[in-house]
Amino acid sequence: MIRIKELFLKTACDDDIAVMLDDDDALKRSDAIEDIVYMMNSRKATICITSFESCGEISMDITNKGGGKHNELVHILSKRRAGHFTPDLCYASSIGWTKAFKQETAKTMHYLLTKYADEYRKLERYEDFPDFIAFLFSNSRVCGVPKPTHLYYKDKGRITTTKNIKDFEVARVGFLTLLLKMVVENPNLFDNAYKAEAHAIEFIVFKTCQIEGIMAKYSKEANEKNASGKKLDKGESDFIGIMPGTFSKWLYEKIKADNLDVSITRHLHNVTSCDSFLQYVYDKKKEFILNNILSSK
Amino acid sequence: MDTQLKFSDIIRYILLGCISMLVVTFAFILYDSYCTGSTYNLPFWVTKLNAYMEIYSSSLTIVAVVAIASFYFVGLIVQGISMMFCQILYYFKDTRFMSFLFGDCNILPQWSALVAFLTRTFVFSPVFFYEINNYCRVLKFRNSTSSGYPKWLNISNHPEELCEIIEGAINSGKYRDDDRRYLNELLIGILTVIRMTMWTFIVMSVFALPQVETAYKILIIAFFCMIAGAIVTLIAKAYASEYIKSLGTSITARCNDTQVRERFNKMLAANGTPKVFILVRTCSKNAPMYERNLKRALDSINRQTYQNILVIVLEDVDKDYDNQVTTANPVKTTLSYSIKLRIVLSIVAVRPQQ
Repeated sequence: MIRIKELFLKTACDDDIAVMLDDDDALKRSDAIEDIVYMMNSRKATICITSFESCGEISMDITNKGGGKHNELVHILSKRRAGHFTPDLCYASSIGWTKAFKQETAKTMHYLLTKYADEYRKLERYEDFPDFIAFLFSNSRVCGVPKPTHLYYKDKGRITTTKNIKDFEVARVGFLTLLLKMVVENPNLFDNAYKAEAHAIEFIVFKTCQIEGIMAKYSKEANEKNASGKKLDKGESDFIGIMPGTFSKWLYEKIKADNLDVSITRHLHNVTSCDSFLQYVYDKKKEFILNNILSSK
Repeated sequence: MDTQLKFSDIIRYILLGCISMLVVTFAFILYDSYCTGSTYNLPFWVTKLNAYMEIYSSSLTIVAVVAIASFYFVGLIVQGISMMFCQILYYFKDTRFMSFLFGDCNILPQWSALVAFLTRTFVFSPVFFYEINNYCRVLKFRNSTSSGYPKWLNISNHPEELCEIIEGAINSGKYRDDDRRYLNELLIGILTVIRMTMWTFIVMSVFALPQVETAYKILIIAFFCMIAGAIVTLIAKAYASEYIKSLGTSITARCNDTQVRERFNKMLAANGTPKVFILVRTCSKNAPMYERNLKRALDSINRQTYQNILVIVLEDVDKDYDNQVTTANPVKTTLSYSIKLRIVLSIVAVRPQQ
């Protein structure tokens, strides 16, 4: 996709739109492109968040309620005028936010991608957490298309459908840290760098809560299988005995190792250690769960 | 099909109709002079026609002439009104309401064509001008670079350049564009001649009703002409369809030429028209999905909603894709869509530099 994005950037003008179709995506309907273009042009938006449906290995789905939460959010978003970042965008799934950009946004994202290319390469697996930064750019305006435009195929072997402890410890930790690093090191891209950092941290904490939940689920399944003497799947044994809060610890340590902990403490004043970060994540998790329950009622 | 109906078009229709009626009358006089041995002073043929009408005033000829004239003008009016109605709808085609009403606004030109076809079939008198006009329209389409191409590909700033690119792509293919033009125009020309001859015979046979024996002979000839015309039309259509497919494939195959790609890039860089790029990543593992994506992407282009937006599909193909996908070549499948997509496909096939 990088080569084709480069071709797009080379040939397109600021107002041109790129609609991405990765090899695990399909257009849900034939007027999907029309809706995206209509919404982006009429709202003067630079990013379009689209609704999507998942299919394939759905049992392995770790997106928020199979994209249900995301689609609800997009529905609300579609009724608003396009605007800058709002905290509820943290709930949006990256499957839906990385599909339609104006050239100017894609250019900045590509600049970051090439700047941090070595870091991407080191992480081997790919998670699109760093793409969240696009919402925070000074010129970003976000709109939504309520009717699903993309069909997302969940294939076996993808990062979201495999149980591999390394994907959590290295890839996910790495990409969340990379996002924070990008925000901290490129203040010129935002109207208000301090606010951008705060939003990025908010997103990182939300993702941490989500990933903690996934790890807890994997760990519970592995423990149960182990106790009943059932055969464990490949990579599943690594989740036996994983304690709650492990991912938060890994993340905090990585942030500290990259000297980004200053940024965290700048925004979360009570977070001065790994334990206090863990406590903060727990509190946030309770808040998210409570919000989810309330909104579903 | 260009659905724009201007005042000049209506005038042209009427003029063509009048000319075709005069041609028929003239042919009839020649035929009559051949059968009866009477001689006509051509500059005064109109006076002679009056004299002839007086001779047959008690026969069915007058009825036939009146009927033809009535049908002719009724046909013209019906066709004009229906096309104007389509045109009015066409102006509002971008609105959400119209989208909702018709689902796919692409139906409008088809509807217009259907109305024209029905008018042509049931009200046969406008056939002459219609055939001639049809031929002129095709010529116009072939020769025009700014207005001849479908609306959705109308790049206001650089239409010539786009067409040049497309022409370039076609020229680099298996068949030269000149061959295509020559063949198409030749086929259309032959068809036009056959159909016009057929209609001339039919009309003449109506005029010659009083001479019963001759009329039967002419009717039989006309019948065979009609069958021959239908067969030629069918063969030509089948051939043209296959021909277009082969042409499209060759465009796709040859568009990887660096020269074409460079010109395409240059054109895009210079163009200020808003564009939508659909960036498709193609993986050999997901070939069917790619096929569906491309079809849907092209479907969205086909809806003609992008009056001033150029939709370009760029694909990034993994190296094993071409080798692995042999049974269901997506490009070939997509080619069966329509002539319009042939042009899009020449752009689809532009791949990033390896």
